[in-house]
Amino acid sequence: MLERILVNGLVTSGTYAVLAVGFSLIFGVAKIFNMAHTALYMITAFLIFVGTNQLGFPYALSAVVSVGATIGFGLICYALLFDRVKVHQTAVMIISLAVAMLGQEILLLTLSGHYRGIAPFVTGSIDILGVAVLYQHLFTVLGCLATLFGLWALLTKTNLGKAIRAVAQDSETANLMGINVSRVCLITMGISAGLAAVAAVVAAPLEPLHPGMWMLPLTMILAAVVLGGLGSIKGSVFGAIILGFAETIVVTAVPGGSFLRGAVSLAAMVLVLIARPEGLFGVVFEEERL
Amino acid sequence: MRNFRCQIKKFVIASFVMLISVTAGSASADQTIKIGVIGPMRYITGEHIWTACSIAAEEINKSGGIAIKGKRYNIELAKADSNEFSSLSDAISAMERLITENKVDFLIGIQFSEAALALQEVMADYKKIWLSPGSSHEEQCLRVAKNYDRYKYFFRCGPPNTIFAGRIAAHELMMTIEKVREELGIEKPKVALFRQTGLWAEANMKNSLKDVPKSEFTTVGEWVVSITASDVTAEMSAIKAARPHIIFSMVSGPVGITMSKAWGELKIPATLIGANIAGMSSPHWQATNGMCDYEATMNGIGRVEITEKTIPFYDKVLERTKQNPLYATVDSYDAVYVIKDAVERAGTLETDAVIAALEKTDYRGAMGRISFYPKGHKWPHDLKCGPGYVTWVATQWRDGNAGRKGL
Amino acid sequence: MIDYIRWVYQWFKGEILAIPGRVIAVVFFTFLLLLPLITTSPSTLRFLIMACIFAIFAASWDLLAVTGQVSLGHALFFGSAGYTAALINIHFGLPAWITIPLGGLSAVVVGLLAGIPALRLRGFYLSLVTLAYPVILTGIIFVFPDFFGGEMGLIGISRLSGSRVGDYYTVVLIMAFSGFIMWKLSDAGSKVLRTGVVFHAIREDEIAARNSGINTVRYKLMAYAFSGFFGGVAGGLYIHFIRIAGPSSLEVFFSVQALLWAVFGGMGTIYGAIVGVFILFPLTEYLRIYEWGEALRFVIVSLVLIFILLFMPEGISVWVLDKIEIRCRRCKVVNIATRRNCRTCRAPLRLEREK
Repeated sequence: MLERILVNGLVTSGTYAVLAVGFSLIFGVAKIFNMAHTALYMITAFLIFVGTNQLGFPYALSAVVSVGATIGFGLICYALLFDRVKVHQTAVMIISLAVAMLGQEILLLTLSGHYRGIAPFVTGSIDILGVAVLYQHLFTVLGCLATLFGLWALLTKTNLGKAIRAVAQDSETANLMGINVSRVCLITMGISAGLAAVAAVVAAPLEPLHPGMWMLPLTMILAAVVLGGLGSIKGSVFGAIILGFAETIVVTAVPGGSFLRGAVSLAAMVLVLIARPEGLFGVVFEEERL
Repeated sequence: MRNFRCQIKKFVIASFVMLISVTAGSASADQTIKIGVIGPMRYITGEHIWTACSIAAEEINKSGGIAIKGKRYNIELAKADSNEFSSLSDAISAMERLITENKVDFLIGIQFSEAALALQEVMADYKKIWLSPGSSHEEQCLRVAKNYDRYKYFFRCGPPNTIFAGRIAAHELMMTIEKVREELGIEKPKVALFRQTGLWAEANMKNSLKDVPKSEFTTVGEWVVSITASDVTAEMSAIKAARPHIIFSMVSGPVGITMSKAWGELKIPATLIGANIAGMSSPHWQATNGMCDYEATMNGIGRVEITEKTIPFYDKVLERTKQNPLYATVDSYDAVYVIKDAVERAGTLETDAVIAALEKTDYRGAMGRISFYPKGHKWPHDLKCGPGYVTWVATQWRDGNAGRKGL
Repeated sequence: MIDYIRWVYQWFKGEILAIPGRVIAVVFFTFLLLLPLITTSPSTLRFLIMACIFAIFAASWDLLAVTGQVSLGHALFFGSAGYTAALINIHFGLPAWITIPLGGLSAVVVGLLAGIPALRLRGFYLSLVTLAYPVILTGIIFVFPDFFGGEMGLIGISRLSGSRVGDYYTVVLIMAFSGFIMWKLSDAGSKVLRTGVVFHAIREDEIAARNSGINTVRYKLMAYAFSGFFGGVAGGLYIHFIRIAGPSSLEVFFSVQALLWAVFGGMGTIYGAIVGVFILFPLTEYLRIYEWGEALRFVIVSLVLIFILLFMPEGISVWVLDKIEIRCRRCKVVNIATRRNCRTCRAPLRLEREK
């Protein structure tokens, strides 16, 4: 039982982590509450589906093309929509929500509302610690880990990463130090959209695709980001891991109550936030504490 | 000021005249019977309900329409998107629009139970006959029993309610148990139960287990998942560890796809049977990437001769949509014919007479012999199921086709 | 008597006719009240009733937003009051005019319970905690299916009133009344209530408000209670009108809709929320008439949302009022934008360079 929780928890939390980190990044840097983040995930998944199943491209090729297209779409959204109303946070929230709804409707109209599936990148399963693990699951976990590691290296080892972190900490001072804040924001949006797309590449073959699939993960990644502390990348990862494992524990330990998985993990989030209002790794200035 | 008042008067008179002419116009437009088709039109069930009704209407119109006392009536369909999965109020206003704006005479449609219960109120307010092809909960007909005068306009044209669905699933389970015993020589096969949350699955599961004697099998456990669970590998690997011979499933939502996929991916050495609503439709093969191969589910229609009408209908739907018909498809198709049959027997479009005729329906449709329970029964106006009436079939996935060859 | 009428006339002239925004509001409500004389088409009345209910819902969301607390789970109030009203109605047979206020009161209790964690949280942390509430409540409802009706919901709820026109007037009057009260509660310029100015102060700077001796805890809880009550009234009206109380009224998207309408109309203004509902809701309904519209209506609505908010990020009503009204800098009285001098103090409304 313990092994099963471990393996399945890693799979669930890995995807959440990559999605949550992307969301957290653009929120931290550009203060954009991007409700369309999981819609980007969905768009990539459907692009891969169209590429592999309707145009007959191999998985890798259509994955690369889809990731590129999604990053382009994210950048366009940022430049044409979000950037122009950035000061009005709730307006950005609603605009991004409308973008997500638009994506859903266009998919419904063009591809109709039934479920679809992407063929797994690798098939078959292996027994680890006596638990059956699909190769696709391993692929997902390893892909998520590699992505997170790559992001960590980018943020800590490169000049661009330094600039991104500087803007996230204090965009005005960063601007005074000669960092081109608007360009950094644009690049961050590209990275954020790219992370959503990569999450789709590694995880979309696991779940049925349909035009409403952006809503459920949106709730969970918002919860993960807040649980970890807004704007903290490390926090988002930990938040995702906690929620992912909370879900898995409910499913595994109380099989009759697995429909409660969402409710239980959100209740866990509420409890943590009551105890620690700034999230696990969030920073709060003493004078702002209530 | 006077001038202004005059103008208002003129405007009011003009609008009254317009109103009267509009209503008079619609009253004189006879020779057609309007049927309103309502469903989630952007989803597969809605598309299928609409296709089925169009096929039936075309067939009837081609062969001379409906005859009432020597007069010929053509069927005209009106379509409305209920959008019932995202908004209940949208579904209600769609139905009301059909009744008040399109002035339909009959209604066919809807899939989602919560929406169906809400729409029954609209139906009762306007006293319109409604044949429901998609939602299965018996509460809808219990209401007819409780308040016959208000809800008597409601007829359920399938699928079998949870009591019968459970019984059908029990037959499927019994058949499989016998097969396992015969071919593998296992006296008491082990069965893993897998169902989604919610009344439908819970009631079905309970009812079907009641019908199979306890001495025939042993259960290794019951796994309950959320209707929208996107990953059931945890549950499925637990099932695999329990080493059952049969997995008896009861799922209706997208989790059906996830289940079949996990079952196939993990190569669980147990046969997957039961009821999987997602598994009844053609996109299931693509959605599971063929992982559902050899999965069996009970089904409203297969390409077998349930009656002489089944196979021609099946082929027509296949030709038009490139998809297998669903239970809602065949239910809606037969519903149009049941209306035709009842109206012709009643000899009038008058609602109470048509209801009386519908209650005496005995029609051989594509899904079997259709007949409704009478007033005074436990479930008045529910579809009669069982031997001699509608029985459903079981279909198995093979090479991308469910039940095209038939079992 | 004559004096009294003259006083009313003067008041009407000064407080309503001189201010374009209020003229629009009065004309709009008069139109709603007179509409049944023009048409009693049930589907028109139905969507206006739904629009009124959602307007109360969106406005109650906005009342909370006035204090700077952006809730992502407002369906909590709507749904819990709906379930309470339905349970009371079914088990005790009480009529709608009792169950709806009781539902509202239950939402107040829920609102206070929900508000307690909110005291420690702010900003997006708060939004996310509120997002969790309806999901948790849905979980509870599924755990006790026999009592709450599970996924089918509760049925057998009595009607709001005898007829569609009766329903219509009930809902329109409740909407007008509660909209007015919510607007007064949040009106920073009100001479009677001080809640408005305090709510605005809390949103602008909570620390400063507290330093000025305001018991911010009490006022924040008060905002939760009022918002909960009106959200609950909307929920009660809803279940008595559509006559089923099901889990669909607790869905995340349902909560988000309130935010969508209110932000579209103009956040933090109350009337903005009502404007938002009365633009977006009829638009979706109107597009249904055409066959292409039925398929494309959500695409069109999303595009409208994006473009309006892109050019009027503070909401459509704020943008319009900005164009037709101007506030005197000296005496803070609102004037129509066409005036050059203030109507009370005669000070020039715009500073113009001398030629």
